[in-house]
Amino acid sequence: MQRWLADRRLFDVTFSLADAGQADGQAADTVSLADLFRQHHLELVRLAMIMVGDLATAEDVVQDAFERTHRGWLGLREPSNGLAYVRSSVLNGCRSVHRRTAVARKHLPRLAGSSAALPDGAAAADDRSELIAALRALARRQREVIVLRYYLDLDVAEIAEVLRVAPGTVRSNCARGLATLARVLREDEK
Amino acid sequence: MNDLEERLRRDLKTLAQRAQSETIRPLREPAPRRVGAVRWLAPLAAVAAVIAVISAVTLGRGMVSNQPANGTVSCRPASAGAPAGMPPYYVALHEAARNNRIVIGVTVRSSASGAALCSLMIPTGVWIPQRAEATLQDGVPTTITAAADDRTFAISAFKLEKPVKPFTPAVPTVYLLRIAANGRSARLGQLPVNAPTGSLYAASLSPDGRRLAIQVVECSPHIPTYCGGGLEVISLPSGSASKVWLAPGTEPLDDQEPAQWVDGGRQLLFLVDLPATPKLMGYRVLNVSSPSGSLITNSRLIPSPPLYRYLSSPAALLTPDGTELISTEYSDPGHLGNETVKLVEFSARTGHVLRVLLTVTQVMPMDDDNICGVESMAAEGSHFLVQCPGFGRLDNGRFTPLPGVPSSLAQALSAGDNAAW
Repeated sequence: MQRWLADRRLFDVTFSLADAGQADGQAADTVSLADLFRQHHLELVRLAMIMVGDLATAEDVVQDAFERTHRGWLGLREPSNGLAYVRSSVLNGCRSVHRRTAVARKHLPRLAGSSAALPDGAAAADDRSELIAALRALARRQREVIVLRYYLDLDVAEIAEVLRVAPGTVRSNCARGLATLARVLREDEK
Repeated sequence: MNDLEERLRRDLKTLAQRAQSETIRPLREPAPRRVGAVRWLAPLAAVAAVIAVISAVTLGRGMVSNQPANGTVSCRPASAGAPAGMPPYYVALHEAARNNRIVIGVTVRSSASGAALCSLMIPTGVWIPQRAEATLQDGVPTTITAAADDRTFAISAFKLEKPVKPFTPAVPTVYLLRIAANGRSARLGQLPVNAPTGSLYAASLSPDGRRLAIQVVECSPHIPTYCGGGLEVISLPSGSASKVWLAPGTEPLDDQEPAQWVDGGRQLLFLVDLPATPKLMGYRVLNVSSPSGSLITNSRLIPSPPLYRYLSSPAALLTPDGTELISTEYSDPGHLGNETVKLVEFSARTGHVLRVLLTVTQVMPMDDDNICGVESMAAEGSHFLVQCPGFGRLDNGRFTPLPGVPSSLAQALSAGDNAAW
């Protein structure tokens, strides 16, 4: 049985042992997802913190991803895909946080309101970098590509694997994100 | 590495240092799981449509003339007329190599046969690295959008002033392509549009060809992290901005999903989060005659089937009279196997299905770049250019394959609409 778990958006699916190949004797070559989470815990928390803006939420995102994937994951076709997969699962969790944040923002005062209108108090208070602030204003996929590229130093193929998109999509989103960041920074310097 | 890249690496590393292994909470081991249940605990998401990505990489091949931008070329007459009501031409973009630089090939094709009638070239200045893997590392996102006269097209592309390293931002440029009334020539000219960098990925030309709608992101001057998405209308050919509508505090609009002119250019259809339902997005139509201001209060929500954010980029087109929404409906197979995809016409008044335009079955898994969608709609709304998964025209429920874009979506390169009529 060919395993293709790494190719799916695994938050949406859960498989049986039989489906995943353990029943036909292929369990021995699987990698331990729990081990990947433990080995890369700090990196994953940092990645989530960059994406969501505060440490406590980032820790929750990684813990939640750990538990959800622990429930659903049994093996990967290519052990080398494991890290890409756990990164992807953490980014999925970050997207859920952004969805909730977007709803909260709807109830905030107008754009140029007082400091009480901060969309994410913890994040904004800590953001002394204009660049990081501008990064948070990017469209979701652009932000993810930029962070994976310039924080984790992943190449195009690796980013494509984490985000489950074509390499061309990575390139175009990176170019778009950088273009927007450059514009925002130029305007700030005026 | 340029200054921006260096700053990004430095600032992101600095930000990351706030989390240290000795201060973060350790992972808690999940409770033991009872195994053996053969179940799909959650169905595969029924993803909504995405306008297909159909740009091609045709290094060293493909038909690209040596005519540069800002030029006129002769066009061959179409051997057969287009069916009644169908635009006579469609224009497809592809990327090609010319002297170790990437160029955007612009090909005018017959809607009836797909035959190439003439082609032009837009230089980008992007250097093709030696390593094949890194080819097009910069990406050259392009979009094309058509006016209602079937002969006027706006193309947004990006240009580098000099050869630079990968991932360097390029300068956004807008070109206007006009096909002569007799179809014997086509002229491509650059417009003096000074649009914000990064805003032209979702440009849309008005039916009269005199306005360009683009997406913008504005941030508060007082609270840099508090931004909102919006729409801006630019007058052509002057390139001056005329109006801006913003939705403060929202996520930026989906830049893979251009706003669409409807109601004869009096309204703009756009996609935005639904405030009460965080996982769902909805279509709104903006009254373009309203003054600059709020994107939300100057627009109204139109009924549509559920559109799930992050699962896919929902895409739809609204017919010119505003009564029907053309979108994509994915089946939920519930097991490994093929998935049925339908291009469906919905009532924009009730959100109910009116008719199925096309049904295809394709192998799972579906991903953002392996999707079906309507690329472009004829001015009177009854004929479509579609990618589902092959490229072709759709008239009265009949799909006719056409050349001009790659058959393999594995070659998909950049986002945006790369064919239009």
